[in-house]
Amino acid sequence: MLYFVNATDSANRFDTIMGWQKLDRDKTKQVIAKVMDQSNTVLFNPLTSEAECQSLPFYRSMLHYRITNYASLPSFRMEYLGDGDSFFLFDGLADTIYKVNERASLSLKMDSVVPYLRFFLQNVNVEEGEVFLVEDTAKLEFMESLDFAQKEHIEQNFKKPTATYEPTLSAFIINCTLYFMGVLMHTSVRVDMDGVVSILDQTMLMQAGLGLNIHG
Amino acid sequence: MSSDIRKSPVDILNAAFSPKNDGERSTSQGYDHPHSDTIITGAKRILSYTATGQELLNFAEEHNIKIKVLKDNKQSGYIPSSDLAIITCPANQTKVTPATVLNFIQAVREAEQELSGLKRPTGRTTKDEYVRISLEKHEDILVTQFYCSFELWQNRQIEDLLNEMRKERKEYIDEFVNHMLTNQS
Repeated sequence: MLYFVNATDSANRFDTIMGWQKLDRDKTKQVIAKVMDQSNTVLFNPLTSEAECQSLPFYRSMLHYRITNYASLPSFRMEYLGDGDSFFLFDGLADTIYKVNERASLSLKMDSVVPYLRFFLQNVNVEEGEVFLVEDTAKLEFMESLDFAQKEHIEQNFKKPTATYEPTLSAFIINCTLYFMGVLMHTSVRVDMDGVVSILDQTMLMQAGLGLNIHG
Repeated sequence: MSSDIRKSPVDILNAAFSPKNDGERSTSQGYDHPHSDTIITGAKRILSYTATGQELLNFAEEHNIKIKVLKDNKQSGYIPSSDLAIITCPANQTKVTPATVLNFIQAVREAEQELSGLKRPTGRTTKDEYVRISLEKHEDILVTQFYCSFELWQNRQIEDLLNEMRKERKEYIDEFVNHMLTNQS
């Protein structure tokens, strides 16, 4: 069963759903029934749980779902990618996203490849720590601990993500700043048309905690 | 290559992002974590090094709290209707981590709160009561996590849990540590 199908437009199977949209009680029950396996039927009781979904700009045939069980506090939530019939649990593996890409009509364009990279980095687990795509230096957790000169150095050298398409590679190259393992670094990130992500190079901009400017 | 040579951030990221060949793919359906037993055993062992942690383990055993590790990288919690404490870990995690131990503490402490009368607010709870209960539950979990972390550091000189807590609230934890050390002497 598919939800939000736009039957009149086969190129866009789903209506775009901007922001999170709450599903009604019946659809919530149906989604819960689809995502639960036999050994974990107690995770989401339809009476105490709520399902929501939203479109992602790079998937034509999958929506981003989240189900929240309000029976606990803090509430318990799990997230999925699904087409209404098949659901994939966000399990922190790059391979899960790649598997979804194969089935979800991934559509990467100049205006959707940066949101895809952001989504990818937020949902793929790296054992050594979280990876942040820095889009606003004000949101860096260590900025407040820096002195004026260090802040100025970061402000001047930070790069907002910019995407270009490289026809010889059939891939997008995103020049951006990443924060990982306490290191702020400029990188070129390659995103293939099937969504596979790889880092091509890095220049360290700053190593937090050491107060060093490692440049060049 | 010598194991003491640190990998560069690029190597680490590319190893995590690279597609695995079919033999290595572990995106199997289902929620149960493939290393659930190892992760639970590891978390229990670490908690047993601390008095506060041991109390939590005793409580879970006495009240038959079921503990499950599921594949996810977001949240952990306790579902009262089924006496189920849930810990979530990324599917590629093979052993217990400091974050997992803190999540374990949270999930079991939530169970303890429910059974000791600090129940979650309901739809009929007034706004002021809702705020009070929510803050109390949250603070109670944080303090329990801190006590386990502090005792682990004191008993075994293992600072990993404290450092994990410092990631989000460094000043708060440092102040807590100073307070405890000052009042010990």
